[in-house]
Amino acid sequence: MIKRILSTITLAALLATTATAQSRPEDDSTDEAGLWYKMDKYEQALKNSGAVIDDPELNAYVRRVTCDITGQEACDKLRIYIVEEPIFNASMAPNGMMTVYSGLLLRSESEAQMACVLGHEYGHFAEKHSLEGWRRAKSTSNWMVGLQFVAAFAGLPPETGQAINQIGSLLFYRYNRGQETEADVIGFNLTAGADYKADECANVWKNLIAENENSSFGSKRRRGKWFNPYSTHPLPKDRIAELDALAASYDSGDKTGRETHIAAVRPHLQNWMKAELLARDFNSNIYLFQQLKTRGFPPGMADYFIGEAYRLRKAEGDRARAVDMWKKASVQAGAPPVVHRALAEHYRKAGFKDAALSSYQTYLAQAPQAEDSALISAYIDRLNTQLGN
Amino acid sequence: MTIKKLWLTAALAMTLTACATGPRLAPAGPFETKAYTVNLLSEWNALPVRTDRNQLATVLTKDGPGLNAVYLFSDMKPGDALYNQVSRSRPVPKFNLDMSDLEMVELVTASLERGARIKSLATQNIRPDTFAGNDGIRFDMTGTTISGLDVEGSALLAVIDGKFNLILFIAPSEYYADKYRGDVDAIFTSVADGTITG
Repeated sequence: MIKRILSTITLAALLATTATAQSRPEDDSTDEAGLWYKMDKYEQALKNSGAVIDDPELNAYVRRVTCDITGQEACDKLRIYIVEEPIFNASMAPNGMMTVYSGLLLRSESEAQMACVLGHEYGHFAEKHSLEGWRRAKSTSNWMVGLQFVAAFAGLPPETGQAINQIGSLLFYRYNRGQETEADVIGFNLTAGADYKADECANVWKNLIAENENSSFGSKRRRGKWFNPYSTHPLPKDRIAELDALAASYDSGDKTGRETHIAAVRPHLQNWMKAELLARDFNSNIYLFQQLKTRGFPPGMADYFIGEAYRLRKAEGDRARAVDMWKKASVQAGAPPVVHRALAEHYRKAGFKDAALSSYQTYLAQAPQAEDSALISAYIDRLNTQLGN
Repeated sequence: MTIKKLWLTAALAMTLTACATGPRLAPAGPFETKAYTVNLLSEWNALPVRTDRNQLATVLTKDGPGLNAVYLFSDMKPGDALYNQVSRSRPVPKFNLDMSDLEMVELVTASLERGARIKSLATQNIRPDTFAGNDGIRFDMTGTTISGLDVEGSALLAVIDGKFNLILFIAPSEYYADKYRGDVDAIFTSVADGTITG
Protein backbone atom coordinates (compact mmCIF):
# COMPACT_ATOMS: atom_id res chain seq x y z
CA MET A 1 0.00 0.00 0.00
CA ILE A 2 2.73 2.42 1.05
CA LYS A 3 4.73 1.40 -1.97
CA ARG A 4 1.75 2.05 -4.22
CA ILE A 5 1.11 5.49 -2.77
CA LEU A 6 4.76 6.42 -3.01
CA SER A 7 5.06 5.02 -6.47
CA THR A 8 2.10 7.11 -7.60
CA ILE A 9 3.46 10.20 -5.90
CA THR A 10 6.92 9.65 -7.32
CA LEU A 11 5.83 9.10 -10.88
CA ALA A 12 3.48 12.06 -10.71
CA ALA A 13 6.30 14.16 -9.39
CA LEU A 14 8.55 13.05 -12.22
CA LEU A 15 6.28 13.93 -15.07
CA ALA A 16 3.57 16.20 -13.82
CA THR A 17 5.87 18.40 -11.96
CA THR A 18 9.10 18.69 -13.76
CA ALA A 19 12.80 18.31 -14.20
CA THR A 20 16.25 17.52 -13.06
CA ALA A 21 19.89 17.69 -13.96
CA GLN A 22 21.25 19.96 -16.63
CA SER A 23 23.90 17.55 -17.89
CA ARG A 24 23.56 13.85 -18.55
CA PRO A 25 24.97 11.91 -15.56
CA GLU A 26 28.21 10.13 -16.36
CA ASP A 27 27.70 7.31 -13.85
CA ASP A 28 24.91 5.03 -15.08
CA SER A 29 24.48 3.45 -11.66
CA THR A 30 23.11 6.60 -10.00
CA ASP A 31 19.46 7.33 -9.30
CA GLU A 32 19.81 10.42 -11.46
CA ALA A 33 20.92 8.29 -14.42
CA GLY A 34 17.89 6.10 -13.79
CA LEU A 35 15.63 9.14 -14.04
CA TRP A 36 17.25 10.18 -17.30
CA TYR A 37 16.79 6.69 -18.69
CA LYS A 38 13.09 6.66 -17.81
CA MET A 39 12.57 10.09 -19.33
CA ASP A 40 14.56 9.21 -22.46
CA LYS A 41 12.14 6.36 -23.06
CA TYR A 42 9.17 8.62 -22.43
CA GLU A 43 10.60 11.21 -24.80
CA GLN A 44 11.01 8.62 -27.55
CA ALA A 45 7.36 7.63 -27.14
CA LEU A 46 6.30 11.28 -27.22
CA LYS A 47 8.31 11.91 -30.40
CA ASN A 48 6.60 9.00 -32.11
CA SER A 49 3.15 10.01 -30.97
CA GLY A 50 0.65 11.70 -33.18
CA ALA A 51 0.28 14.50 -30.67
CA VAL A 52 3.45 16.47 -31.44
CA ILE A 53 2.95 19.57 -33.61
CA ASP A 54 5.87 19.83 -35.97
CA ASP A 55 5.09 23.21 -37.55
CA PRO A 56 8.61 24.69 -37.84
CA GLU A 57 7.48 28.30 -37.41
CA LEU A 58 5.55 27.62 -34.23
CA ASN A 59 8.40 25.55 -32.84
CA ALA A 60 10.88 28.29 -33.71
CA TYR A 61 8.67 30.83 -31.94
CA VAL A 62 8.38 28.84 -28.70
CA ARG A 63 12.09 28.06 -28.73
CA ARG A 64 13.00 31.70 -29.36
CA VAL A 65 10.95 32.87 -26.35
CA THR A 66 12.36 30.07 -24.19
CA CYS A 67 15.93 30.89 -25.18
CA ASP A 68 15.33 34.60 -24.61
CA ILE A 69 14.57 33.94 -20.95
CA THR A 70 16.97 31.08 -20.19
CA GLY A 71 19.94 32.25 -22.23
CA GLN A 72 21.30 30.37 -25.21
CA GLU A 73 23.67 28.03 -23.39
CA ALA A 74 20.97 26.69 -21.09
CA CYS A 75 18.44 26.63 -23.89
CA ASP A 76 20.69 24.44 -26.02
CA LYS A 77 20.17 21.67 -23.46
CA LEU A 78 16.40 21.76 -23.87
CA ARG A 79 14.32 19.84 -26.36
CA ILE A 80 10.91 21.43 -26.74
CA TYR A 81 7.84 19.54 -27.93
CA ILE A 82 4.56 21.27 -28.67
CA VAL A 83 1.76 18.84 -28.04
CA GLU A 84 -1.75 19.16 -29.43
CA GLU A 85 -3.79 19.02 -26.25
CA PRO A 86 -6.51 21.53 -25.41
CA ILE A 87 -5.51 22.10 -21.80
CA PHE A 88 -3.49 24.73 -19.97
CA ASN A 89 -0.28 22.88 -19.16
CA ALA A 90 3.43 22.53 -19.71
CA SER A 91 5.89 20.14 -18.16
CA MET A 92 9.56 19.45 -18.01
CA ALA A 93 11.34 16.14 -17.66
CA PRO A 94 14.66 15.63 -15.88
CA ASN A 95 16.51 14.97 -19.15
CA GLY A 96 15.76 18.39 -20.67
CA MET A 97 12.52 17.49 -22.46
CA MET A 98 10.06 20.37 -22.26
CA THR A 99 6.47 19.72 -23.26
CA VAL A 100 4.25 22.67 -24.12
CA TYR A 101 0.54 22.06 -24.63
CA SER A 102 -1.38 23.83 -27.38
CA GLY A 103 -3.96 24.84 -24.75
CA LEU A 104 -1.28 26.88 -22.99
CA LEU A 105 -0.37 28.69 -26.21
CA LEU A 106 -4.02 29.41 -26.95
CA ARG A 107 -4.66 30.76 -23.45
CA SER A 108 -1.52 32.88 -23.15
CA GLU A 109 -2.23 36.47 -24.09
CA SER A 110 1.34 37.25 -24.97
CA GLU A 111 4.94 36.12 -25.22
CA ALA A 112 5.36 37.40 -21.68
CA GLN A 113 2.64 35.14 -20.25
CA MET A 114 3.96 32.13 -22.08
CA ALA A 115 7.48 33.00 -20.90
CA CYS A 116 6.32 33.00 -17.26
CA VAL A 117 5.06 29.43 -17.53
CA LEU A 118 8.02 28.17 -19.51
CA GLY A 119 10.37 29.97 -17.11
CA HIS A 120 8.60 28.22 -14.24
CA GLU A 121 9.18 24.88 -15.92
CA TYR A 122 12.79 25.72 -16.61
CA GLY A 123 13.09 26.61 -12.93
CA HIS A 124 12.29 23.03 -11.99
CA PHE A 125 14.92 21.84 -14.42
CA ALA A 126 17.58 24.26 -13.22
CA GLU A 127 16.97 23.38 -9.59
CA LYS A 128 16.80 19.63 -10.22
CA HIS A 129 13.44 19.47 -8.53
CA SER A 130 12.52 16.09 -9.98
CA LEU A 131 15.66 14.47 -8.67
CA GLU A 132 15.04 16.01 -5.27
CA GLY A 133 11.44 14.87 -5.42
CA TRP A 134 12.50 11.36 -6.38
CA ARG A 135 14.96 11.17 -3.50
CA ARG A 136 12.44 12.68 -1.14
CA ALA A 137 9.84 10.12 -2.15
CA LYS A 138 12.29 7.28 -1.56
CA SER A 139 13.40 8.54 1.84
CA THR A 140 9.79 9.20 2.84
CA SER A 141 8.93 5.68 1.79
CA ASN A 142 11.79 4.29 3.86
CA TRP A 143 10.91 6.05 7.09
CA MET A 144 7.23 5.31 6.64
CA VAL A 145 7.96 1.59 6.32
CA GLY A 146 10.30 1.75 9.31
CA LEU A 147 7.76 3.54 11.47
CA GLN A 148 5.06 1.12 10.46
CA PHE A 149 7.22 -1.82 11.54
CA VAL A 150 7.90 -0.12 14.85
CA ALA A 151 4.19 0.57 15.29
CA ALA A 152 3.34 -3.05 14.49
CA PHE A 153 5.95 -4.45 16.90
CA ALA A 154 4.77 -2.05 19.57
CA GLY A 155 1.30 -3.51 19.20
CA LEU A 156 -0.24 -0.24 18.10
CA PRO A 157 -3.57 -0.50 16.25
CA PRO A 158 -3.59 -0.72 12.38
CA GLU A 159 -4.92 2.83 12.24
CA THR A 160 -1.47 3.97 13.35
CA GLY A 161 0.03 2.60 10.14
CA GLN A 162 -2.60 4.41 8.10
CA ALA A 163 -1.87 7.62 9.99
CA ILE A 164 1.83 7.23 9.18
CA ASN A 165 0.89 6.85 5.52
CA GLN A 166 -1.17 10.01 5.62
CA ILE A 167 1.52 12.02 7.34
CA GLY A 168 4.13 10.87 4.83
CA SER A 169 1.89 11.82 1.91
CA LEU A 170 1.02 15.21 3.39
CA LEU A 171 4.67 16.01 3.98
CA PHE A 172 5.50 15.03 0.42
CA TYR A 173 2.80 17.24 -1.05
CA ARG A 174 3.86 20.16 1.12
CA TYR A 175 7.40 19.68 -0.14
CA ASN A 176 6.10 19.61 -3.72
CA ARG A 177 4.20 22.87 -3.21
CA GLY A 178 7.40 24.43 -1.94
CA GLN A 179 9.14 23.47 -5.17
CA GLU A 180 6.31 24.99 -7.18
CA THR A 181 6.61 28.28 -5.33
CA GLU A 182 10.34 28.28 -5.91
CA ALA A 183 9.78 27.63 -9.63
CA ASP A 184 7.25 30.48 -9.75
CA VAL A 185 9.90 32.86 -8.47
CA ILE A 186 12.45 31.57 -10.96
CA GLY A 187 9.93 31.89 -13.80
CA PHE A 188 9.17 35.44 -12.74
CA ASN A 189 12.82 36.42 -12.49
CA LEU A 190 13.65 34.94 -15.89
CA THR A 191 10.67 36.66 -17.52
CA ALA A 192 11.21 40.03 -15.92
CA GLY A 193 14.94 39.71 -16.48
CA ALA A 194 14.29 39.42 -20.21
CA ASP A 195 12.53 42.81 -20.10
CA TYR A 196 9.03 41.40 -20.28
CA LYS A 197 6.34 43.24 -18.37
CA ALA A 198 6.50 41.77 -14.89
CA ASP A 199 2.82 41.76 -13.99
CA GLU A 200 2.03 39.44 -16.88
CA CYS A 201 2.98 36.44 -14.71
CA ALA A 202 0.12 37.01 -12.28
CA ASN A 203 -2.24 37.58 -15.21
CA VAL A 204 -1.68 33.98 -16.34
CA TRP A 205 -3.35 32.75 -13.16
CA LYS A 206 -6.00 35.46 -13.10
CA ASN A 207 -7.11 34.39 -16.58
CA LEU A 208 -7.13 30.72 -15.64
CA ILE A 209 -9.22 31.36 -12.53
CA ALA A 210 -11.72 33.36 -14.58
CA GLU A 211 -11.98 30.58 -17.15
CA ASN A 212 -12.47 27.92 -14.49
CA GLU A 213 -15.14 30.01 -12.78
CA ASN A 214 -17.06 29.95 -16.05
CA SER A 215 -16.86 26.17 -16.42
CA SER A 216 -19.92 24.01 -16.97
CA PHE A 217 -18.53 21.58 -14.41
CA GLY A 218 -18.78 22.12 -10.66
CA SER A 219 -15.51 20.28 -10.07
CA LYS A 220 -13.66 22.73 -12.30
CA ARG A 221 -15.41 25.77 -10.82
CA ARG A 222 -14.29 24.67 -7.35
CA ARG A 223 -10.76 23.83 -8.47
CA GLY A 224 -8.07 25.69 -6.56
CA LYS A 225 -10.52 27.66 -4.45
CA TRP A 226 -9.74 26.05 -1.12
CA PHE A 227 -6.57 24.72 0.37
CA ASN A 228 -6.11 21.01 -0.23
CA PRO A 229 -3.25 19.41 1.70
CA TYR A 230 -2.91 16.80 -1.06
CA SER A 231 -2.50 19.38 -3.81
CA THR A 232 0.78 19.36 -5.72
CA HIS A 233 0.54 23.08 -6.47
CA PRO A 234 -0.14 26.16 -4.34
CA LEU A 235 -3.55 27.80 -4.62
CA PRO A 236 -3.78 30.04 -7.69
CA LYS A 237 -4.80 33.01 -5.53
CA ASP A 238 -1.67 32.55 -3.43
CA ARG A 239 0.45 32.39 -6.57
CA ILE A 240 -1.19 35.57 -7.84
CA ALA A 241 -0.51 37.38 -4.56
CA GLU A 242 3.11 36.30 -4.63
CA LEU A 243 3.64 37.19 -8.29
CA ASP A 244 1.88 40.53 -7.87
CA ALA A 245 4.12 41.33 -4.93
CA LEU A 246 7.19 40.41 -6.97
CA ALA A 247 6.00 42.56 -9.86
CA ALA A 248 5.41 45.53 -7.55
CA SER A 249 8.98 45.30 -6.33
CA TYR A 250 10.53 44.98 -9.77
CA ASP A 251 11.26 47.78 -12.16
CA SER A 252 10.57 45.68 -15.22
CA GLY A 253 10.41 46.43 -18.91
CA ASP A 254 7.11 46.85 -20.72
CA LYS A 255 7.57 44.26 -23.45
CA THR A 256 4.59 41.92 -23.80
CA GLY A 257 4.93 40.48 -27.29
CA ARG A 258 1.16 40.31 -27.83
CA GLU A 259 1.26 40.77 -31.59
CA THR A 260 3.99 38.21 -32.16
CA HIS A 261 2.17 35.72 -29.97
CA ILE A 262 -1.08 36.16 -31.86
CA ALA A 263 0.76 35.87 -35.17
CA ALA A 264 2.38 32.61 -34.04
CA VAL A 265 -0.87 31.07 -32.83
CA ARG A 266 -3.07 32.37 -35.65
CA PRO A 267 -2.33 29.59 -38.21
CA HIS A 268 -3.46 26.98 -35.67
CA LEU A 269 -6.37 28.93 -34.24
CA GLN A 270 -9.17 27.10 -36.04
CA ASN A 271 -7.84 23.62 -35.19
CA TRP A 272 -7.19 24.49 -31.58
CA MET A 273 -10.55 26.16 -31.03
CA LYS A 274 -12.25 23.14 -32.58
CA ALA A 275 -10.25 20.86 -30.27
CA GLU A 276 -11.37 22.90 -27.24
CA LEU A 277 -14.98 21.98 -28.01
CA LEU A 278 -14.20 18.26 -27.65
CA ALA A 279 -14.07 18.57 -23.86
CA ARG A 280 -17.70 19.74 -24.03
CA ASP A 281 -17.13 22.39 -21.35
CA PHE A 282 -19.18 24.82 -23.39
CA ASN A 283 -19.57 27.59 -20.81
CA SER A 284 -15.82 27.67 -20.42
CA ASN A 285 -15.42 27.55 -24.22
CA ILE A 286 -17.72 30.53 -24.69
CA TYR A 287 -15.79 32.52 -22.10
CA LEU A 288 -12.41 31.62 -23.61
CA PHE A 289 -13.50 32.37 -27.18
CA GLN A 290 -14.89 35.75 -26.12
CA GLN A 291 -11.55 36.48 -24.50
CA LEU A 292 -9.69 35.48 -27.66
CA LYS A 293 -11.72 38.01 -29.59
CA THR A 294 -10.82 40.82 -27.20
CA ARG A 295 -7.16 39.77 -27.38
CA GLY A 296 -6.95 40.49 -31.07
CA PHE A 297 -7.74 37.20 -32.75
CA PRO A 298 -10.02 37.48 -35.80
CA PRO A 299 -13.57 38.22 -34.60
CA GLY A 300 -15.10 36.16 -37.41
CA MET A 301 -13.30 33.06 -36.18
CA ALA A 302 -14.11 33.71 -32.52
CA ASP A 303 -17.79 34.38 -33.17
CA TYR A 304 -18.12 31.28 -35.36
CA PHE A 305 -16.81 29.09 -32.56
CA ILE A 306 -18.92 30.82 -29.92
CA GLY A 307 -21.85 29.89 -32.14
CA GLU A 308 -20.56 26.32 -32.30
CA ALA A 309 -20.38 26.15 -28.51
CA TYR A 310 -24.02 27.29 -28.31
CA ARG A 311 -25.04 24.74 -30.95
CA LEU A 312 -23.43 21.92 -29.01
CA ARG A 313 -24.55 23.13 -25.56
CA LYS A 314 -28.22 22.89 -26.57
CA ALA A 315 -29.54 24.92 -23.63
CA GLU A 316 -32.81 26.77 -24.05
CA GLY A 317 -32.37 29.59 -26.55
CA ASP A 318 -28.96 28.34 -27.68
CA ARG A 319 -30.05 27.66 -31.25
CA ALA A 320 -31.02 31.32 -31.69
CA ARG A 321 -27.81 32.43 -29.97
CA ALA A 322 -25.76 30.22 -32.28
CA VAL A 323 -27.44 31.62 -35.38
CA ASP A 324 -26.86 35.19 -34.16
CA MET A 325 -23.17 34.49 -33.66
CA TRP A 326 -22.80 32.83 -37.06
CA LYS A 327 -24.56 35.75 -38.77
CA LYS A 328 -22.25 38.15 -36.97
CA ALA A 329 -19.21 36.04 -37.81
CA SER A 330 -20.10 35.73 -41.48
CA VAL A 331 -19.57 39.44 -42.10
CA GLN A 332 -16.45 39.81 -39.99
CA ALA A 333 -12.77 39.35 -40.68
CA GLY A 334 -11.32 35.90 -40.31
CA ALA A 335 -14.56 33.91 -40.51
CA PRO A 336 -13.92 30.38 -41.73
CA PRO A 337 -15.94 29.22 -44.76
CA VAL A 338 -17.79 26.69 -42.57
CA VAL A 339 -19.74 29.54 -40.99
CA HIS A 340 -21.80 29.64 -44.21
CA ARG A 341 -22.39 25.92 -43.96
CA ALA A 342 -23.55 26.35 -40.37
CA LEU A 343 -25.99 29.05 -41.45
CA ALA A 344 -27.15 26.94 -44.40
CA GLU A 345 -27.85 23.99 -42.12
CA HIS A 346 -29.92 26.24 -39.88
CA TYR A 347 -31.87 27.72 -42.80
CA ARG A 348 -32.52 24.29 -44.28
CA LYS A 349 -33.80 22.97 -40.95
CA ALA A 350 -35.98 26.06 -40.51
CA GLY A 351 -37.41 25.70 -44.02
CA PHE A 352 -35.78 28.83 -45.48
CA LYS A 353 -34.81 27.14 -48.72
CA ASP A 354 -33.61 30.21 -50.63
CA ALA A 355 -31.36 31.29 -47.78
CA ALA A 356 -30.11 27.72 -47.34
CA LEU A 357 -29.27 27.43 -51.03
CA SER A 358 -27.45 30.74 -51.06
CA SER A 359 -25.41 29.90 -47.95
CA TYR A 360 -24.47 26.44 -49.21
CA GLN A 361 -23.36 28.01 -52.50
CA THR A 362 -21.27 30.60 -50.66
CA TYR A 363 -19.68 27.85 -48.59
CA LEU A 364 -18.71 25.82 -51.63
CA ALA A 365 -17.50 28.91 -53.46
CA GLN A 366 -15.19 29.67 -50.53
CA ALA A 367 -14.17 26.05 -49.94
CA PRO A 368 -14.45 24.23 -53.27
CA GLN A 369 -12.19 21.42 -52.04
CA ALA A 370 -14.16 20.90 -48.83
CA GLU A 371 -14.31 17.31 -47.61
CA ASP A 372 -18.10 17.45 -47.69
CA SER A 373 -18.45 19.03 -51.14
CA ALA A 374 -20.22 15.94 -52.53
CA LEU A 375 -22.82 16.04 -49.77
CA ILE A 376 -23.30 19.80 -50.01
CA SER A 377 -23.62 19.56 -53.80
CA ALA A 378 -26.36 16.98 -53.29
CA TYR A 379 -28.15 19.38 -50.91
CA ILE A 380 -27.82 22.16 -53.48
CA ASP A 381 -29.26 19.94 -56.21
CA ARG A 382 -32.15 18.96 -53.97
CA LEU A 383 -32.88 22.57 -52.99
CA ASN A 384 -32.72 23.67 -56.62
CA THR A 385 -35.25 20.98 -57.50
CA GLN A 386 -37.52 21.95 -54.61
CA LEU A 387 -37.32 25.62 -55.58
CA GLY A 388 -38.03 24.80 -59.24
CA ASN A 389 -34.72 26.34 -60.38
CA MET B 1 -0.66 14.71 -14.29
CA THR B 2 1.09 13.18 -17.25
CA ILE B 3 1.16 9.70 -15.72
CA LYS B 4 -2.54 10.12 -14.96
CA LYS B 5 -3.01 11.07 -18.60
CA LEU B 6 -1.13 8.01 -19.79
CA TRP B 7 -3.44 5.77 -17.78
CA LEU B 8 -6.43 7.70 -19.04
CA THR B 9 -5.18 7.34 -22.59
CA ALA B 10 -4.83 3.61 -22.22
CA ALA B 11 -8.25 3.36 -20.61
CA LEU B 12 -9.94 5.45 -23.27
CA ALA B 13 -8.20 3.66 -26.09
CA MET B 14 -9.66 0.47 -24.72
CA THR B 15 -13.19 1.79 -24.49
CA LEU B 16 -13.85 0.98 -28.10
CA THR B 17 -12.24 -2.42 -27.93
CA ALA B 18 -13.13 -3.75 -24.51
CA CYS B 19 -14.98 -7.02 -24.68
CA ALA B 20 -18.13 -7.62 -22.75
CA THR B 21 -17.80 -11.36 -23.29
CA GLY B 22 -15.39 -13.50 -25.25
CA PRO B 23 -14.95 -13.46 -29.00
CA ARG B 24 -16.68 -15.90 -31.30
CA LEU B 25 -16.20 -16.88 -34.90
CA ALA B 26 -18.56 -15.32 -37.42
CA PRO B 27 -18.66 -17.58 -40.47
CA ALA B 28 -18.92 -16.30 -44.02
CA GLY B 29 -22.46 -15.28 -44.86
CA PRO B 30 -25.04 -13.06 -43.23
CA PHE B 31 -24.16 -11.56 -39.82
CA GLU B 32 -27.05 -10.00 -37.96
CA THR B 33 -26.98 -7.02 -35.65
CA LYS B 34 -30.03 -5.71 -33.81
CA ALA B 35 -31.03 -3.55 -36.74
CA TYR B 36 -29.34 -4.71 -39.90
CA THR B 37 -27.50 -7.59 -41.53
CA VAL B 38 -24.08 -7.48 -43.10
CA ASN B 39 -22.73 -10.06 -45.48
CA LEU B 40 -19.32 -11.52 -44.68
CA LEU B 41 -17.24 -12.83 -47.57
CA SER B 42 -15.09 -14.83 -45.20
CA GLU B 43 -14.79 -15.80 -41.56
CA TRP B 44 -14.26 -13.00 -39.02
CA ASN B 45 -13.82 -12.84 -35.27
CA ALA B 46 -16.79 -11.12 -33.65
CA LEU B 47 -16.28 -9.39 -30.30
CA PRO B 48 -19.07 -7.75 -28.35
CA VAL B 49 -18.20 -4.19 -27.34
CA ARG B 50 -19.76 -2.55 -24.33
CA THR B 51 -20.72 0.99 -25.21
CA ASP B 52 -22.50 3.75 -23.36
CA ARG B 53 -25.37 2.61 -21.11
CA ASN B 54 -24.22 -0.99 -21.58
CA GLN B 55 -25.54 -1.22 -25.08
CA LEU B 56 -23.63 -3.85 -26.94
CA ALA B 57 -22.08 -3.21 -30.30
CA THR B 58 -19.93 -5.68 -32.19
CA VAL B 59 -16.45 -5.41 -33.59
CA LEU B 60 -15.46 -7.70 -36.44
CA THR B 61 -11.75 -8.29 -36.77
CA LYS B 62 -9.34 -10.57 -38.57
CA ASP B 63 -6.08 -9.85 -36.77
CA GLY B 64 -7.26 -8.06 -33.61
CA PRO B 65 -9.14 -4.76 -33.15
CA GLY B 66 -5.91 -2.78 -33.14
CA LEU B 67 -5.05 -4.01 -36.62
CA ASN B 68 -8.39 -4.17 -38.39
CA ALA B 69 -11.76 -3.47 -36.91
CA VAL B 70 -15.23 -3.10 -38.33
CA TYR B 71 -17.47 -1.72 -35.59
CA LEU B 72 -21.17 -2.40 -35.98
CA PHE B 73 -23.29 -0.05 -33.91
CA SER B 74 -26.99 -0.62 -34.30
CA ASP B 75 -30.30 0.52 -32.93
CA MET B 76 -28.87 3.33 -30.82
CA LYS B 77 -31.51 5.46 -29.15
CA PRO B 78 -31.43 9.23 -28.62
CA GLY B 79 -29.07 9.91 -25.72
CA ASP B 80 -26.84 6.91 -26.48
CA ALA B 81 -23.13 7.39 -27.07
CA LEU B 82 -20.47 5.44 -28.93
CA TYR B 83 -18.30 5.03 -25.84
CA ASN B 84 -18.61 5.09 -22.09
CA GLN B 85 -18.61 8.26 -20.06
CA VAL B 86 -15.99 7.85 -17.33
CA SER B 87 -16.95 10.86 -15.22
CA ARG B 88 -19.47 13.67 -15.04
CA SER B 89 -16.84 16.18 -16.01
CA ARG B 90 -15.99 14.25 -19.17
CA PRO B 91 -19.30 14.17 -21.04
CA VAL B 92 -19.42 12.21 -24.26
CA PRO B 93 -21.08 13.15 -27.56
CA LYS B 94 -24.54 11.64 -27.76
CA PHE B 95 -26.96 10.86 -30.52
CA ASN B 96 -29.98 13.13 -30.84
CA LEU B 97 -32.88 12.88 -33.21
CA ASP B 98 -32.55 16.48 -34.36
CA MET B 99 -28.99 15.96 -35.59
CA SER B 100 -28.22 16.88 -39.16
CA ASP B 101 -26.17 14.61 -41.40
CA LEU B 102 -23.05 16.60 -40.63
CA GLU B 103 -23.75 16.51 -36.90
CA MET B 104 -23.88 12.72 -37.10
CA VAL B 105 -20.53 12.73 -38.85
CA GLU B 106 -19.32 14.96 -36.01
CA LEU B 107 -20.70 12.46 -33.48
CA VAL B 108 -18.42 9.81 -34.97
CA THR B 109 -15.32 11.97 -35.37
CA ALA B 110 -15.63 13.62 -31.95
CA SER B 111 -16.02 10.19 -30.36
CA LEU B 112 -12.87 8.97 -32.09
CA GLU B 113 -10.93 12.10 -31.20
CA ARG B 114 -12.04 12.21 -27.59
CA GLY B 115 -12.74 8.58 -26.81
CA ALA B 116 -10.06 6.79 -28.83
CA ARG B 117 -7.62 9.73 -28.79
CA ILE B 118 -7.13 9.78 -32.55
CA LYS B 119 -5.12 12.88 -33.39
CA SER B 120 -5.19 14.99 -36.56
CA LEU B 121 -8.39 13.26 -37.56
CA ALA B 122 -9.48 14.42 -41.01
CA THR B 123 -12.58 13.38 -42.88
CA GLN B 124 -12.63 12.96 -46.63
CA ASN B 125 -15.31 12.61 -49.23
CA ILE B 126 -18.40 12.94 -47.06
CA ARG B 127 -21.12 11.84 -49.42
CA PRO B 128 -24.69 10.61 -49.60
CA ASP B 129 -25.10 6.84 -49.65
CA THR B 130 -27.70 4.30 -48.71
CA PHE B 131 -27.98 2.21 -45.58
CA ALA B 132 -30.29 -0.76 -45.94
CA GLY B 133 -32.28 1.13 -48.51
CA ASN B 134 -32.48 4.30 -46.40
CA ASP B 135 -30.68 7.60 -46.90
CA GLY B 136 -27.28 7.41 -45.29
CA ILE B 137 -23.96 9.19 -45.15
CA ARG B 138 -20.59 7.72 -45.95
CA PHE B 139 -17.16 9.19 -45.41
CA ASP B 140 -13.50 8.27 -45.16
CA MET B 141 -11.03 9.25 -42.47
CA THR B 142 -7.34 9.49 -41.72
CA GLY B 143 -5.66 10.17 -38.41
CA THR B 144 -2.89 9.20 -36.05
CA THR B 145 -3.19 7.31 -32.79
CA ILE B 146 -1.71 8.75 -29.63
CA SER B 147 1.12 6.23 -30.00
CA GLY B 148 1.95 7.58 -33.45
CA LEU B 149 0.35 4.99 -35.68
CA ASP B 150 -1.24 6.39 -38.84
CA VAL B 151 -4.72 4.97 -39.25
CA GLU B 152 -7.45 5.26 -41.83
CA GLY B 153 -11.01 4.13 -42.15
CA SER B 154 -14.50 4.58 -43.45
CA ALA B 155 -17.91 5.03 -41.92
CA LEU B 156 -21.46 4.53 -43.11
CA LEU B 157 -24.28 5.80 -40.95
CA ALA B 158 -28.00 6.39 -41.02
CA VAL B 159 -30.94 7.06 -38.78
CA ILE B 160 -33.61 4.46 -39.37
CA ASP B 161 -36.90 4.57 -37.48
CA GLY B 162 -35.41 7.05 -35.03
CA LYS B 163 -32.41 4.82 -34.23
CA PHE B 164 -28.78 5.52 -35.07
CA ASN B 165 -26.85 2.88 -37.01
CA LEU B 166 -23.18 2.98 -37.87
CA ILE B 167 -20.57 0.83 -39.52
CA LEU B 168 -17.06 2.02 -38.80
CA PHE B 169 -13.89 0.52 -40.24
CA ILE B 170 -10.55 1.54 -38.84
CA ALA B 171 -7.08 0.08 -39.38
CA PRO B 172 -3.42 1.14 -39.53
CA SER B 173 -2.69 2.77 -42.88
CA GLU B 174 0.39 0.67 -43.41
CA TYR B 175 -0.47 -2.80 -44.70
CA TYR B 176 -3.56 -3.53 -42.59
CA ALA B 177 -5.98 -0.98 -44.08
CA ASP B 178 -5.66 -2.72 -47.45
CA LYS B 179 -5.10 -6.26 -46.25
CA TYR B 180 -8.78 -7.20 -46.25
CA ARG B 181 -10.04 -4.32 -48.36
CA GLY B 182 -12.27 -6.58 -50.45
CA ASP B 183 -13.88 -8.10 -47.37
CA VAL B 184 -14.43 -4.71 -45.77
CA ASP B 185 -15.86 -3.21 -48.95
CA ALA B 186 -18.21 -6.18 -49.19
CA ILE B 187 -19.48 -5.49 -45.66
CA PHE B 188 -20.15 -1.85 -46.49
CA THR B 189 -21.77 -2.71 -49.81
CA SER B 190 -23.97 -5.35 -48.24
CA VAL B 191 -25.30 -2.80 -45.78
CA ALA B 192 -25.73 -0.09 -48.36
CA ASP B 193 -27.84 -2.45 -50.43
CA GLY B 194 -29.21 -4.55 -47.61
CA THR B 195 -32.39 -4.71 -45.65
CA ILE B 196 -33.37 -3.94 -42.10
CA THR B 197 -33.65 -7.01 -39.91
CA GLY B 198 -35.18 -5.62 -36.77
